[in-house]
Parts: sequence; C-alpha cells; structure tokens
Amino acid sequence: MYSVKSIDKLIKEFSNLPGIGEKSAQRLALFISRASKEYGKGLMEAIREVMEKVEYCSICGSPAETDPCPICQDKTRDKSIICVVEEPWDVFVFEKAGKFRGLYHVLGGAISPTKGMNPEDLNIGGLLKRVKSEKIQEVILATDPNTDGQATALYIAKLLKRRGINVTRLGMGLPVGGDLEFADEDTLSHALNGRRAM
Amino acid sequence: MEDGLCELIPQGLLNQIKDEDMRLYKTDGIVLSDYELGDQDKIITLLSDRYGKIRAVAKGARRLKSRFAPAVQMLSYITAVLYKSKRIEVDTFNECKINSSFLGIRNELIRLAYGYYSVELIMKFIRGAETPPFLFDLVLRMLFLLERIPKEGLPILMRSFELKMLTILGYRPYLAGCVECHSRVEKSRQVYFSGYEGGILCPNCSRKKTGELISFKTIQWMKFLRTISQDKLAHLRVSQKVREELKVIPESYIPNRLGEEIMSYSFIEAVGALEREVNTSKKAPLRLN
Repeated sequence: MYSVKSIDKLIKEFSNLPGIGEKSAQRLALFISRASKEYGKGLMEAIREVMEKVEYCSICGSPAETDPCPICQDKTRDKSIICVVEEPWDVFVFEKAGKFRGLYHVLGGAISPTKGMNPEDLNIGGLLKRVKSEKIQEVILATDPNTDGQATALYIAKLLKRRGINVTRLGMGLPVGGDLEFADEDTLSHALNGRRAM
Repeated sequence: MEDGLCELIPQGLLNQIKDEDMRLYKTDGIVLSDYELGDQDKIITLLSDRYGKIRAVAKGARRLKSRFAPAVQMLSYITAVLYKSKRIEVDTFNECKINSSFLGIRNELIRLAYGYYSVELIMKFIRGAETPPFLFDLVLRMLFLLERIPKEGLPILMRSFELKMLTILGYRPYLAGCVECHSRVEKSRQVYFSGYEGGILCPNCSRKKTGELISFKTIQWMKFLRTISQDKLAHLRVSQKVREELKVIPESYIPNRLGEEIMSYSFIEAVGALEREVNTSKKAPLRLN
C-alpha cells in the first residue's frame, strides 16, 4: 500500500489532539503538505514558542510566559477579590471583556462525579490556601451555568462560607439580545431573583 | 410504501404517514448526561418513557442563547421531539420543552449529589432500547421527592429507589432465605448479607462464603422498602444502625451486579462528611485537599 511516511507521521500526531479524528487529521496534514513554506515555518515557530515559553502560574493556574503570571504580579489589581473559573480560557474571556480588576483562580475543570471528576481532582486545595494566606474578602464563583458548574459552586461555597468570606456567584438570567418568549423556568427564576432597581 | 396503496389513502393521512417515515417522534425523557460535541453542540443521553436510553445531538446547545441549552441539562424532565437517523444511532433534537428543571435538587449540594448517583445508576443499569414498565414513573417520582423531602430522609429514599429499581430490572436481592442452601433465616439467628452471592446467607454458609453480618431488622427493612409507596417514605423513622447496614446495597450488592463501582457514590459520602463538619464546627480549620 502506497503511503508517504512523513505525512503519515503528521496524521498520527494530529489525531492525538482533542476532538480530531483520523479523517480530520488527514485533512489537516494534506493542507499543510500543500501550504507555502512560510506558513509551515510560522506554524512550527508558533508551536515551538508555546512549548518553550508557556507555563502555568503556580498561584492561579492560568497559562502565562512568566511564573507568577502578569495578573498575579500586577500591583494595580484588587487583591481582595478572586474570580474562580473552570478552565484557563475562561480567564481570557474575562480579560477580553476588561471589566474585572481582581485576581483569578483556575480550577482545571468542574465536579462531575458521573464522569469521574471529584473535588480532589480540581485545584480547590490551592484556592483554600490562597484564601487562608492572602487577604481575600470576596470569592466570585464563575463556574459554567450548568449542572456540573452548579455542583462545583455549591461545594466551594460550602467550604468557604464558614470562614466568613463573602462568596458570590455570577448573575444568571436572560441573555442580552434574547427573547423572553423562549425563556425557561430555570432562567426566569434566576432572572427574577437577580432583578435590580432602575 | 407501495405506490398502489398510496392512491387509496387520503392526502392528509399520507402526509402524516410520510412524517412517520421521516422518523420524527415525540417522547418524555429525563436527561442523564451531556457531552460536548465540537464548539457548539452537545450529545445528550435521555431516559425516555418508552424507548429506553436515547442518544441525541442538541445542535447549538453550548451557545448561551441556545433554545436547547436550558432543557438539556442533566436531571431535567423534558418533552422532546426528535428526528431519528436512519444511518447512525444518534438522533437529533428538533423541539424541546422543559416539564421540570428540579431546581430544588440543583440548589442544594447533598440533593444534587444524590441526583448524580441516581443518574449514574440508571445509565449503568439500562442498556436496551426499551424502558421497562414502571421504571420511568419510578425515576420521576424519586426525583420529585428528592427535590422536597427533608434531608434526613434522602438515604432511605435512595435505598428504596435502588431496591425498587433492582426489582423492576430483575436484579432484586434474594431475601426469602439463605441464597446458598435456601434454609429459612430466623429472627433469633445471625444473618449475613453477601453482595457477591446476591442475598442473605445463613451462619453455616457464611463460613464458606464471605458475607457481612447484618441485623434481621435490616432484612425486614429491605423487604419493606422495595414494596412501600414512595409517597410514604418521607415519614419513615429508621434507626442509625439500620441506615448504616442498608449501605450494603450501594456498597456491595450493586457493584457486584454491575461488575463496577458507582463512581458518584463516593461524592455523596464526601458531601455528607462536609455537611456534618460544617454543622458541628462553624469555625473549624480550613479543609485542604
């Protein structure tokens, strides 16, 4: 059977990536084989840089090129508030919005016992250490608005509340630009509870 | 459908039959799990009222403004219209309406932990394309009770659910006598329970087979819990000793029937321990992993 060894090798590497199957890996490898030399060099350089430079902040768990990350080192940020997120890319979403000036803590997932994710698999211990050693007044639980995110938020809230720390959860309710007609019982209930004076 | 037959059927009825050929079908269901599929979609597993476990794609369910997103959350009780694929075993959501989100379960950690456990039990026990009679109602009633009965009643609610579900599925533990020699077990004698053997053991057989010593009263409770109406569970008074001994069902009997552990059972234990810790000492030192 005819095959090109170098392409096969690339297909094998691509198919190890999350969400990429054999066929998608083939498409990507063939695309690269046809792409310009400059594109190939740029891609290799980008991968090399990430592998060499990026590490995860030992304080908050965000990806960065320095340890501690620039956010944890930034003296202008409000160090009394920690925003707890599930995944590293959630930090980028908050930073892109530019509305939050506190610190972050990345859990590395959400509690999901049926999928084998238990509290001990998450970086909850690191959060408790930070709350104990730093002067934290508020912890914002910004886990996803789904069942696993809710379980994670409830678990962490239970651990923190007895320490007298103000624990809050991101507001949940009607999405901006949404249509009230399609709102479900859960969303409407959250929207009503989170209503505010105008 | 044969052409000759088509000519004899009125157009309205023909359209209806063609719809059925398109395999759009409606079912009530309880969402058991969701997995992310690509950037936008989710694969949902439902326990349907008639068709057993169904796997279906909810397109766009990962988007914040998706019409499916609130409905396809684990534990939601929904009515769905699904499109049955002819080529693959995964259907597609066409419409979805929430009947109950079970907010009372979602908003309390211990209830949610039991919710996870019950969902995992169903996921692992139901394998066929048909839902056994009475099972859907049993699950639904259990979820409505899980949402509202006092917290102290939750372990007994779950033991009763386990025993009833095992009975419906044909896995009920043998409690009429010794599972090995079939001798009657008397109140005055010691009773052992073996998850591996599938029921109770008399003192003689327990020497050859491994079993846990439990009280005769616990055996009576097992029989009672599998037959009692679920609505009466909230009012039961069960001693701590019996509660502890009834744990042989989730800790030994069920794993032996399934050949694997129920992963979320340890989460119930962890949450229970945390709640006890919080209740007993308000100013306890921080719990670190």
